[in-house]
Amino acid sequence: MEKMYETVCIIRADAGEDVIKGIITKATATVEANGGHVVKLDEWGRRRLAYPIAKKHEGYYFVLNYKSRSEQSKELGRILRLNEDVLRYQTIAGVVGAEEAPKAEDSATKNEATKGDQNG
Amino acid sequence: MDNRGARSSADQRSPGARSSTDQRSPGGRGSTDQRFQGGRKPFIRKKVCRFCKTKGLTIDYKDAKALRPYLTERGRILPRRISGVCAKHQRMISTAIKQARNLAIVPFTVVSM
Repeated sequence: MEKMYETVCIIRADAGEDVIKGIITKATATVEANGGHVVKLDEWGRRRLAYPIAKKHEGYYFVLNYKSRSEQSKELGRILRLNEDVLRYQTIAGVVGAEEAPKAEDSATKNEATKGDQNG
Repeated sequence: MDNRGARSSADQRSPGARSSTDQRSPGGRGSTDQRFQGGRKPFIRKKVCRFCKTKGLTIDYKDAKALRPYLTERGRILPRRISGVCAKHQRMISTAIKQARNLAIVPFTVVSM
């Protein structure tokens, strides 16, 4: 049975440009190898990590939305896990493509705790 | 015709009747006056869940900015009693925050300087 998956992957930011591109193309190829298909590939680029992973403070993020069977998703996970340049990845199943939905950031909440957060 | 006439007269009477009961309400304890009594009490704003109020507002673990209002300065998940989110959406927020933490989008803890 085919399902929607969303994989977010963090690659070492200090890896070469061709290494990063290589991982991304390999990831998309793995998904499409056995009948799955990539719905969307979103590259966030270099981004500061909220906490250091493997002594790195920066990472290259990309998000891969795809529809495939669970085997492909597992295979993608295996490939990312074995790659030394991948700091971390996370796959979430059953994500409905909610691209058009308004983001929660637009309207600020009115509670005092968040106000304190913003001021402090 | 008779019905309509009766209804209109009742309508005309009701605003006056309402205001009089409203004035009397702090003393009296009539069953129908209770809701007007409620209006006289100090007004406490009931928090309404933002996600229930606004249809189509989604909770996305990839959006650090959107999750920020539901985290304390130290990076802990804000309790429901403060954020005013309903139980269902609080569950969704907490899972989203935990997913975001795994991906270093949102911190586990913020150590104070």
